Amino acid sequence: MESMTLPQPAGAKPSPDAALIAAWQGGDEQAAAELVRRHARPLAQFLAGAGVPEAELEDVVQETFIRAFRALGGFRGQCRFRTWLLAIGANVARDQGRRAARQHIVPLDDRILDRGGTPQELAEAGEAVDRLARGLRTLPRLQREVFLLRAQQGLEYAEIAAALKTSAGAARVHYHHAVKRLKELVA
Amino acid sequence: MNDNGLDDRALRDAARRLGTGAAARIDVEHVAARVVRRLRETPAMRLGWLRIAAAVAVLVGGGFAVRAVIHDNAGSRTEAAYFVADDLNDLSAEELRELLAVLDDTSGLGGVGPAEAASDLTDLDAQQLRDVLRTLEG
Repeated sequence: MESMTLPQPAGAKPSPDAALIAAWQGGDEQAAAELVRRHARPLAQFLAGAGVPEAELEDVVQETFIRAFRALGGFRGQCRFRTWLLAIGANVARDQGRRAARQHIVPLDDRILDRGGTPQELAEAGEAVDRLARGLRTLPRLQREVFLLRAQQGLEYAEIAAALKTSAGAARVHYHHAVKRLKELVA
Repeated sequence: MNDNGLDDRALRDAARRLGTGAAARIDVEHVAARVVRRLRETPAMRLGWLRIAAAVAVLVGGGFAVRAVIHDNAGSRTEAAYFVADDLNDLSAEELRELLAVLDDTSGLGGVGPAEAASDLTDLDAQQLRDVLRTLEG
């Protein structure tokens, strides 16, 4: 599938993701499963940082993959598959938060922190992570998503911009606004 | 990254740790199996019905608020429509008609449905839902 691949040198092999996507579109279910295996944990980490509670994490990850596979026809290789997946995940998380708010379940703000895990994990997470999670919930959505894509996922501004349908300059501004507000809480 | 400075590093370190425990605990093989099963069970030809089902789910979720608007002012159905329009604006007129037909079919079932639906739609009957949808249908 040509539209799936980012620009590559002539003769270069397609990325593993592009090959798997093409295989899945050719009817290979195991290729879809392999894409899930490759990207589920980074996606889950991003979603947890964005405020999805752990109890709902698997469901939101699953829904994100379903939406992504159904929308593959609209993916033009403007960014990596994982980046595109994270952007879809942000939308799914937003929908999930709106549903929870309408049903008057636990407010989103109280569910951002990952409070699960062993005592050792909790100790290792440290106060900085706790403060960061609390700070993230005070940020506007776009600032929070750009911050996570940049600081947590290590993406470049151009890639973030392509995924979130904004400009690299705007992504940079969102990131620096986020950092400015978060530093006071974490540093 | 080009964002230098101790504070930035501390922030990025914290960001990289955020959510790692929860991510490590998901059952990736289980998720992969569920995704493959759902993809197998929902071929493209059924997506139109899935969108309608999603719209019904939105109505159930927003039912409480819609009911409040209708009860506060019987003449303000447009406000109620506006409340759900952001979730329904992708539905075509034909799909809205299909949804109305589904409601017509189910209105004779005596309100049998999921418990969560009943709790949200205690007082919002099928006629009120039809009114909202017809407003959207234009």
